[in-house]
Amino acid sequence: MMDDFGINDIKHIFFNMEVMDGQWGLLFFGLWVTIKIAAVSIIFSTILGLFVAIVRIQNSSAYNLLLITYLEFCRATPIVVALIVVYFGLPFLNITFSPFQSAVIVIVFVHTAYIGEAFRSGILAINKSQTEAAQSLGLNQIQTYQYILVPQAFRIVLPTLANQWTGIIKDTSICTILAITELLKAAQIIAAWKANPTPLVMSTFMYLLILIPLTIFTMRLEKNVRIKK
Amino acid sequence: MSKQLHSEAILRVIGLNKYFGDEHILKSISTTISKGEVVAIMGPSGGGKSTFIRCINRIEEPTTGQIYFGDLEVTGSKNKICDIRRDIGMVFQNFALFPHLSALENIMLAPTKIKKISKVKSKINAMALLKRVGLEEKANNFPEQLSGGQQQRVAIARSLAMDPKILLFDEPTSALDPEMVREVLDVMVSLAQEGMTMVVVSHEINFIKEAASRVLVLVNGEIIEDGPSKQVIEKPSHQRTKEFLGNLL
Amino acid sequence: MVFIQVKIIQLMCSMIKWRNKAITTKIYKYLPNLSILMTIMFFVVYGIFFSNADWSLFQEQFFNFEKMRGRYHIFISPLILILKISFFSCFLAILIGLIMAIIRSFNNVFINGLITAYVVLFRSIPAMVLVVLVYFALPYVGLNLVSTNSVIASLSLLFSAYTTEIFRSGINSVDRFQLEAANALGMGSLQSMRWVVLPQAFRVIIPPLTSVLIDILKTTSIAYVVGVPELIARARQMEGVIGSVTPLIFVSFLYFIIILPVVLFSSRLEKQSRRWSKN
Repeated sequence: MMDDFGINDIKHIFFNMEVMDGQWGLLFFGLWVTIKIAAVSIIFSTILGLFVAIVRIQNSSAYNLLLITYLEFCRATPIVVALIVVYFGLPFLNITFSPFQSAVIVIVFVHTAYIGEAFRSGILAINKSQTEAAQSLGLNQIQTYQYILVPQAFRIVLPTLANQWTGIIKDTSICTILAITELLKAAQIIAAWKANPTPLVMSTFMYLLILIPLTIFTMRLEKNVRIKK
Repeated sequence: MSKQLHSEAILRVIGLNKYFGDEHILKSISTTISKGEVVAIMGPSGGGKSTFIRCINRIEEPTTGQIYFGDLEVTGSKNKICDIRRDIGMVFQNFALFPHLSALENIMLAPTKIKKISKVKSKINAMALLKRVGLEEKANNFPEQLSGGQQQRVAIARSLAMDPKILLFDEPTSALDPEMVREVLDVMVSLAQEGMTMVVVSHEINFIKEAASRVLVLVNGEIIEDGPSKQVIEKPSHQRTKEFLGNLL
Repeated sequence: MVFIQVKIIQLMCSMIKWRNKAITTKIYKYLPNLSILMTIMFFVVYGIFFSNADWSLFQEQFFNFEKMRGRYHIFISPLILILKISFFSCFLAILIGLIMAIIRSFNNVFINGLITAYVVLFRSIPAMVLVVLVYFALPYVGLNLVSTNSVIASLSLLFSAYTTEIFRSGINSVDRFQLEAANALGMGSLQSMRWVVLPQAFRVIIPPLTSVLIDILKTTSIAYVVGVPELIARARQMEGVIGSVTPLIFVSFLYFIIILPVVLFSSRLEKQSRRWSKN
């Protein structure tokens, strides 16, 4: 059966631009929604992750216990499950979030744990004498974090961070199970209507267009770290 | 006489004890350092020199005892410690320059962020300091582009930028290659000649002869010798000091 | 909240005029712990007894195990299904990764370029997108995969990109002289790979492999979109029947139970390997 397919058939099925006529608008709208979810999630989870890391480093055992439980919980819960519980479950308690809100809440909740852990190991990797030098200049704790530790931690953590950000962008596609027209959902709608997979292929290209540069960037950073070691 | 000395005292240490777990590192050390003195602290490794000097600005938490800087108690409330530290400069063994900032930014950081001095003003000040340690052309280099001796000189300039009333040196030359020691010591000697109060943990016997006015010998957490540098080095009274100096020379 | 508690205890300390520094510092050390526990207890007690939140509604909707009674067996077959999907995906991903890493170690520039492109591609493509693409697009060219198989195919493609990298860094971690020594003993390159390099690389490989396993277990939940009769699909059906979210909670609990041991195992391995690298 496969042998019957010539290059023209493949072009007709997967790259059928006639199908896409007049549909680009919806697809780009989906792309815009995806970028919005990703951007908001990246900003919030990075900031919160930094706070989680700083609290973890204070080494107060009760906070640590709480945060470790949170981390293990996030590592062991699939995002699909969390999304469904937040979006379809919470309304049973009369707590209703819009699809966009649920998406951001779940992605931020899960990725904050990972980013927090990355920042923690980044800050711990900084030589202790940096803190001492900052203290001896008279910087207080907040200033020490602000001017000395966090800027250095960012450099150390950047490969892991870039990897997490890629993960966040990828996870936005899971939100297709909610009633939100993000990129994948938009593609599915058009594909179902036109009975042709071209929109799916196009949306995949759009994802790759964003993600491949990020992945290459991440891999290069990882390589640099390995060489420095 | 004693009253006059007291009024000049810039640093008073009273009954300082420090434990690491069960290990008794500092055994009720008391001493007074007056304004303009250059005090060298010597002693075998593990004798508590570094711990002592780190307790002075409370980077290391003393277990018991009091330290007074002028009228202010260093060992008092933790809230005021930052203000006190601004007047106590410290230079570390491993330089501890901030690697993400250039030499100039390293020096400007504390004045601009803590004292809120304008950027222009503190830059002029920082350039003057760099000139003083002979590194004005390295202002925009990052620490990893500098040699060890240059890094240490920038570190000295960084602590001078806060106009400290006293400077602490924690083995400033022991991590340096021999040919770089001199350039750092020169800076320290010129500081001493300008009347800066300094506490220096060091084994550089030439520096001590040249610049130090007083020597403390710290062995097993106790001060076993305390006197003018000439006297301690040439006619040590304690057997342990003789052995130690014999090894050094 | 915590701040106020700290202030209160500070005030108490100063009133009693504790001169003994050791005791005071000890109290200060445990102060944050004490205060956070008090805070949590406060909220729990307040939430249960004094707030006007409807806890019976919460219990009825989220933990209504009464209605679940006699329905637990429904989850057995989907549970086995996701374990099967995970197992096959994991197996295939490791197999592909291992083969690619070995081919890569022969240092053919052209083939290595292809493999790198493969790795970049599948590290970039979101799992959901690939699953949807494989399931909805391939039938148009006559390649009809059962939904389960399409999920296995996509997962093994995706994660083989990661395993390739893991195996490669494992192989690179082994000293080059080991290979030369093996060659000197008369072993061929495949033999020395099998008997000398891989056993040594194992130590570096295992911790990241367990985190890939965790990711695979979690990603199986995506199968829900393409109509695989797995846990979430069943839970959502049951949710409609009994009118309570309890099945979903139960499913997340199931996932938790499956994945948590692997998570704990992997964090322990990571600690261990950090200790190794320190030595």
